[in-house]
Amino acid sequence: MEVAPESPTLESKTDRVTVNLGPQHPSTHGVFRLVLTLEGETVVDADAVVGYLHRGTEKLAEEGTYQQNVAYTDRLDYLSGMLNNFAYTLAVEKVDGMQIPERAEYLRVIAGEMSRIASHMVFVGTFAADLGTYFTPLMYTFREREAILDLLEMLCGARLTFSYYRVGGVAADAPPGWVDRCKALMERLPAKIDEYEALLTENEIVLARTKGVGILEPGTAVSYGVTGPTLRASGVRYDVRRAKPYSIYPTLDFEIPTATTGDCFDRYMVRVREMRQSVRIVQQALERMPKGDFAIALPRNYRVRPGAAYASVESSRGELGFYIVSDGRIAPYRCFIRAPSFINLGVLRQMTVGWKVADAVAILGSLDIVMGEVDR
Amino acid sequence: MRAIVDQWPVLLREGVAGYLKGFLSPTLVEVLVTAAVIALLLTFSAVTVMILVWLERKIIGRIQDRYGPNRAGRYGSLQLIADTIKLLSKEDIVPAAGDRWVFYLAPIVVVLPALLIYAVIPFGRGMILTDLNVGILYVLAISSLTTVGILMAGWASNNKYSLLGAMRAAAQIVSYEIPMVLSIIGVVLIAGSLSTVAIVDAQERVPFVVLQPLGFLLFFVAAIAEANRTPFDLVEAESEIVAGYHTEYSGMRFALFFLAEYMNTFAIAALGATLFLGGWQWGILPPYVWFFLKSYALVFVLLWIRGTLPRLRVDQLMGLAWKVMIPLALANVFATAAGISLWQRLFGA
Amino acid sequence: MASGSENGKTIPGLGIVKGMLVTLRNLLRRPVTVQYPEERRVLAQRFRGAPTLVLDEVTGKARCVGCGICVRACPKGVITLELSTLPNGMRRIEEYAIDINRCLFCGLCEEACPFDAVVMSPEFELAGYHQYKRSWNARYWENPPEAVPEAIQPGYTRAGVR
Repeated sequence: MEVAPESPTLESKTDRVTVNLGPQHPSTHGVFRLVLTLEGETVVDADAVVGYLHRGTEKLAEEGTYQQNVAYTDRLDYLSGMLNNFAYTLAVEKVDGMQIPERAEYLRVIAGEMSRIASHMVFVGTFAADLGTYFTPLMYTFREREAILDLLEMLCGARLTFSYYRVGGVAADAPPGWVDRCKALMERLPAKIDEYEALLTENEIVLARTKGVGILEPGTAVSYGVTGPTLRASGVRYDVRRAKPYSIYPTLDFEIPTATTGDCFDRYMVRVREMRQSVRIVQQALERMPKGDFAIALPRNYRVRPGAAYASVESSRGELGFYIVSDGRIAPYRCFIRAPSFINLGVLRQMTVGWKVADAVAILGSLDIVMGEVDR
Repeated sequence: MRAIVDQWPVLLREGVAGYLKGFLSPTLVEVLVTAAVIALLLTFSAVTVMILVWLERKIIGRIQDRYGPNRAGRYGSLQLIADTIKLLSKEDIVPAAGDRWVFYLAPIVVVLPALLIYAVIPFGRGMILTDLNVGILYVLAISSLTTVGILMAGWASNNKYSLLGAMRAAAQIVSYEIPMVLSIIGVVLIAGSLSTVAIVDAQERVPFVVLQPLGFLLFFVAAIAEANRTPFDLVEAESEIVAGYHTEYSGMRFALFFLAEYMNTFAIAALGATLFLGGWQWGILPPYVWFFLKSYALVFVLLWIRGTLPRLRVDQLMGLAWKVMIPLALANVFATAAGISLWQRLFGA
Repeated sequence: MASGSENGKTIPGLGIVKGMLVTLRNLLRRPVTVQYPEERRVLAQRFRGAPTLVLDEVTGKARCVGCGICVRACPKGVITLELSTLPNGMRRIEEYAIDINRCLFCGLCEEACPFDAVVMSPEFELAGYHQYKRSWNARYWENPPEAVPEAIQPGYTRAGVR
C-alpha cells in the first residue's frame, strides 16, 4: 500500500480545503472534533479539538467522600466501567496502605477483565462500522456484550455505570450461581470471537483498508506516551499488568499480545487476541477464587491518612492512572486522572497526515478513544 | 393449457390488439397497446422498488440477528408506504445559491435511465416491450446517462463536498463501465447478436454462466459498482464526511434518488439473469416465474453482500477497475473468441 | 499494490467468501432481539432502577424514620428531607424527595439506609413530559396508596459498620 501523495514527477496544485469531522458524526467515538485540512483527498493536517464532554470530574471528586467518588469514576471510560473503579480504589488503598481480602481481589479482577472483553467487543464492532460494513459485525459483538453485561448486572445491578468497587473491596459478593453462569459464558466466548474473526480478519477488503495504514513507529509511540493496545501493536511490550503488577496478576498465567507493524490491522488484531487472553484470565480466576470476605468494613466517614500515591491499571485503552493526594479529610485534596485516551490522541496528527479521508476515519477508529476519558 | 399459463400476457395483448383493430386504425391500436405496456412497466418498477426495499431491510435485519421492520403492516410490508408518506410531507428545500433548474432536473435525469432499461428486458417468451436488435448496446448507452444526472446534482447543490462526492461517483461509474462492456462482449460473441431476446434464446441448452464464468463474475462486480452498492458505495458513505451528491435533497427529490438506486439494483439483477443465467429459460415452471426467481436470487446476493462487506477506498476502487478487471475482461474476450473459432473449426457450426 | 489486494489475489477472494458464510449462517438463525414493549427482559434481582421508599410488609407503614443518613450518603445530594416536630416530641417527615433528574442510580443510599427503607426499584422507564421529583409527603404517610410489591428488596449486603 503506497502512501498517497508522493509522486515525484507531478506536482499537483489543488486548493486546501478545511473540513470538520464535526462534534457529531456518524463515526461515533463520542463528541470529538477533528479539523482536517485536505488537498484533494489527502490529509495534510489534522487538528483535534476536545472538551465537549468535560464535566469537571476531578474537581467534583474533591467534594465527595472517597466511597462516593467511585460513582464518578465509572463515567470516565464508560465502555469498560469496572476498570476505572479499579484504578481509583487501587490508588486510594495505596495512599492508605491497606490490604484487601483475597476474595475481593479475585472478584475485582474477574469483573475488570469481563469489562475489558466487553469494551474490546465495542471496538471490533465500531471499527468494522467505520470501515463501512453497515453494522453487521457490530450487532454480533453487541450480542455477546449483552451476555457479559447481563452477568455484570446480576453481580452489581447496573450494566454500564457499575460503581461496583469500594475502597476496601467490592460492594457485594457474587450471588449464588453466578460463578457457574460466568464459567458457562467463558466457554462460549472463544467460539464467538472466532466468528468475528471469520467475518473480518481475512476479508480482503478489510485488509486492503487497514494493512499498512496509519503506521505508528515504536519510538514515536513511546515518546508521545501512548500506552495500551495501540503501543503493543507497534511492538513495544509494555503492559501495566506485567510491568507494575497489581492485585493477583502475578499469579495468573496469560500472554501479552504484541504485533510488529503498528498499522490499523495490527491494532485490531492485538485487541482481538487480548479478548482471548482475558477469557483465559477470567477462567483461571473463577477456578481459584477463595472463600472469604468481599470487603473490609470501613467506617462511614472514612479518612485516608495524609499522603499521596499514584496507582495505575491496564485499562482497555491503556494505562489508566489516578494520583490521589490526601490531607486527612474525608474527601481527597486532589485527584488527578491519567486518561490513556487523551494521551493517545496526541499521536493522531502524526498518524493521519499523508493518508486519505477514509483512512483518517479508520485510523481514528483504531485508536479506540472514549470521550468520557479524554474530557473527564 | 400449458400455453395459456405460460403465455397469458402475450395472449392478452394480442387479444386486445386484435379486438381493437376491428374498429380503430392499426397504428393507433399499436400506440395504445404499447402505451398500456409502458404504464404496466412503470407500475412494475415502482412495485419492484417497494418489494426490494422491504426485502433489503428484512434480510439485512435477519443477517444482523434482529427482526427488521415488523410494525407497519404484517411483517413490515407497509413500512415503505409509511416512509413515502413521510418523505412526501417534508419541506422542499432548494439551495438558494444553487442552480435551480439543474437542481430540479437532476433527480429526473438520474431516474430515467433506470426506468428505460426495463424496455429491453425479456420477462418471458415474447414478453418484452420492444425487441431492439441492439438491445444490449442500448442498455449500456443509457446507463451512462446516470453520470450526467449525478454531476448535475453535485453541481447544483452549491456545496463543495457534494461536488466532490459527485465527481467521485462519476469517476467510479465511468471506470466500471469498461469492464462491464468487455464482460458482455463474451456473451454477445457466443450468442451472435446484441438483442436480449436472441441472447436468451441462445441459452436454450446451456446458460452462459457455464460458458463464461469469469465473464459473469466480472459483470457482477462491475454492475455492483455501476449501481453504487456496497462495497462500492463510497458516494453515499455515511461514515465519511462527504455525504454525497444527494445531501441537499430532501423529501420527494431525495426519494427519486432512492428510487433510482433500487431500480438500478433490480435492473442489473435482471440483466445478469438475462445475459448469464438464461433469462426465462428452463422448463416446468412458467417462464416469467423463472425470470423472477433468477432475478431475485441475484438481488439476494446483492443484499447479502451489502450486509457483509466493508467499503473500498476511492483509489483502491479505481485500481481494481483499471488494473485488475480490465485486463481480466480483455483476456476473457480473447479466450472466448479463440474458443468460438476453435469450435467452429472442429464442429463447423 | 494500489488495487488493494494483499498478495496478488483479486478482491473477491476466499476471505470474503468466509465472511459471507458467517452472515448466511446468522441469516438462518433466530433473532436475538426482544420485541419491546410486548416482551420484556427479566431484570436481575439486584438491578438498580429508580430509588424508592418502601413500606414494611408487617405494619403497613413506611419504614423511613427520617434519619437523614441517605441524604448524606448521596454523592450528588439529590435527596431532600423536610422534618417537623409533633407536640409529643416525635419527628414527622414533611417531605422526602428524590430528584430523579440528578440521581446517579449508584445505590449508595440503599447501602447506607439502616432500616432498608430506601431501595433501588426495578423501574427504569422514567421518560415523561415534565421534569419531576419523586416525593413522598405527609399525605402519603397518613394514607399510603398501596403496598409496595414484594419484588423490591434491598439488593446489597452492606459491608458493615465499624
